[in-house]
Amino acid sequence: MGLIEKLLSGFQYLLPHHLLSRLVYAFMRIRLAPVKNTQIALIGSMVGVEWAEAKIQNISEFENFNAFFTRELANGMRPIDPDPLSFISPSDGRISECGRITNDRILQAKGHHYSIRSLLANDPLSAEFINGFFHTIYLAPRDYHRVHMPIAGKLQRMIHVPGRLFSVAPYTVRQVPDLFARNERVVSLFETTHGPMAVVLVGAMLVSSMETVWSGVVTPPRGRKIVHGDWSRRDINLKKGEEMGRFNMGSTVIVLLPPGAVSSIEPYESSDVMVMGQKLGRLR
Amino acid sequence: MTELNSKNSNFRLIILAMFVGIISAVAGISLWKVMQGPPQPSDAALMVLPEPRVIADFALVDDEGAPFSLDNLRGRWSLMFFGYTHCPDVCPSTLYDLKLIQEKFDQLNGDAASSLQVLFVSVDPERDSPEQLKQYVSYFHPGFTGVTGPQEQLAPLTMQLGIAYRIDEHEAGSPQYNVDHSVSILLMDPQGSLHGVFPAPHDADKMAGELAAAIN
Repeated sequence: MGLIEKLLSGFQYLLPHHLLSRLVYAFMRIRLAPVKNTQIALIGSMVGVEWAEAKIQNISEFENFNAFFTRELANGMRPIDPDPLSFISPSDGRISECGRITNDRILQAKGHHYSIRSLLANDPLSAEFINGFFHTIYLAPRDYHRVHMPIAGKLQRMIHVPGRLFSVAPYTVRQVPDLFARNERVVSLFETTHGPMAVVLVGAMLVSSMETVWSGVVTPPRGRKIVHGDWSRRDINLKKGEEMGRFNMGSTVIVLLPPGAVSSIEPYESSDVMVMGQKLGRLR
Repeated sequence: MTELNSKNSNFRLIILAMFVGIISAVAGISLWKVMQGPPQPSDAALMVLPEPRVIADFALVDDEGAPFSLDNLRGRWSLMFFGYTHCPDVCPSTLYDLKLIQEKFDQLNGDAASSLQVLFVSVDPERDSPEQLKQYVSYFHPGFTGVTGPQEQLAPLTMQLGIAYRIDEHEAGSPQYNVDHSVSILLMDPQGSLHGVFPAPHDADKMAGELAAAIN
């Protein structure tokens, strides 16, 4: 098992990640009705989409497969936890890992940690999250793919960190060191009533398209340099539970909160199922 | 006929060998890649906060039994470390690192050495009296100061500083219990605000250099 996992994840180092991702990107945007309708029906059933939750019920109304993939849900499908002091799951998916950050080390999987600074591309706010709290949530292809605010916040910065696109399937997460700090990602830093908050959207194999509500599609293009965007003067205030971005295919969201912000977190474990709006913990 | 057969099987053998070769090469490179280290983040030992974090006043006692509050942080830079004297490993080794840092810092700074104070804050006041703290910290360096106080004072202070600790449940008066605690070393500025954090592991040489640079 261990060797197979190592071989499979090792093999991923050799693949042309971004080329594959761009092919899938194009494939997901075919508009030709018979093609995209078949894609939606076939792939949707294969991965086990909950059809009844979607706002648009008629497949032919989706512009392309991607529109289906990032579909809106019908009203009331994802109630936001009513406790005013709770912080909530930003997306559907499963807990990859969660808990306390030890020093500046975030747990990736048993035996693997990565540093706050590598995840946040050395942003000065990194120091604020030392000994803080993290939640890593892994989205599956069937899941609802929009990402929402864990608590209300005002956008300060957005950092696009180009990187590789390893799969974020559990076996790769176990095998590739610093996976979330190697993959391409979009870091959003907010100011909240409880201090700073980081929400990181991590790209993955075949999944390099992420967008945010304030800037539209961030990637692709892939770029080669880290891009730091200052948004603090743009007055982008988002409420708890409001949409902040979306994956144009599945991947991973990481939420960081500083140590002084949180009084307790729910005792979730790896692979527990999350739905957007569900309580992750309580603020002070 | 026989010659042709043997040629044929030789050919097959070569193909097979090439095939095995390619497979092992791919597998080898894959394994090598997965074991390779990741790209490096900033390797600065000190993580400076974007804005110094202002801390509310507190009422603790030092190892002479005298009151110790925010005022005692003012006027000079301080390194703060939280732990307890019964700590089996992390605290002694960190205090030893702090001793090395203090010595290196003194070397680098000469007369300015007195501008730095090193504080060991015990989060285990049940067992750590001021006298005991005094004895413990002086063992590492005569200039170090031990500080402690009631839990009602320690809890809000550590919360603001991002220090976590948890005292194992035990019967009142029982001397046998452990305390889990954060091992980061904090750098407080002369206004008494949190300037930055040295997360573990602690490299004394590097820390002393960065400390001198931050202070000067």
